[in-house]
Amino acid sequence: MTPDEERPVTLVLDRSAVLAYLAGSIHATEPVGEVIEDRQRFGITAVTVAEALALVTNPKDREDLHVLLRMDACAVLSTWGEDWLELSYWRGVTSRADLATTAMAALEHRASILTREGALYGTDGHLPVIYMPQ
Amino acid sequence: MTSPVRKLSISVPQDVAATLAEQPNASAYITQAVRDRRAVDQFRAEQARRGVQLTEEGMAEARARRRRVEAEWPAERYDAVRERVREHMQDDLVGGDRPASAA
Repeated sequence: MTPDEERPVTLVLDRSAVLAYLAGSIHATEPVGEVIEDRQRFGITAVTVAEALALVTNPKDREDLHVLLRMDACAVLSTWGEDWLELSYWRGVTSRADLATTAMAALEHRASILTREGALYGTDGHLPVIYMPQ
Repeated sequence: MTSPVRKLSISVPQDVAATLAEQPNASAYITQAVRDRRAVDQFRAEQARRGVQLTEEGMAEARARRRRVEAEWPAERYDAVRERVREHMQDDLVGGDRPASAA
């Protein structure tokens, strides 16, 4: 593990947060910035990256996403095969596989989820969610 | 795997030299400080390139929001949710019912 990898992941961006970041939303960018200034990392699950890339067709936005993912403070997070049972639970709650991986990553890293789709994560207080304004 | 290293001779002010003298591993201390600063510079340069204007006030508000969630979510709460989900899904496997809500 490199020293960079020892820095904790304290914020996980879901698909809505990634898309908001690419759209230039200050409500997505500033939370990422403050995590970096606090010498921590932000994470995006690999499934979320794939979902975002499937939706983002603008070459500039795709390049911006690649730059975001290459940042020292960005961790692209895995979902492990042995966690299939937990994954299927969160898939049931959120109705989406990418949100399920985000929920699992947040719980694994004891991090908060940055989202515009907070209602999809279940009832209020169900998960550590930070809601972004529209 | 250890990455290759380069030996440098640098000059620092007295106060920095005193801090480094207190460290068990001054090289590791400097390396982490440089990486931390690089991550911030990298992020700010990217936002400048994209034309996104960051404000100290906005960053502080974002930090306060995250800290509020962190205060509501101690480590035990994360672990408890995971444990309840696992138990719920194990019961579901045995019982054959659809999951409702475990967290």
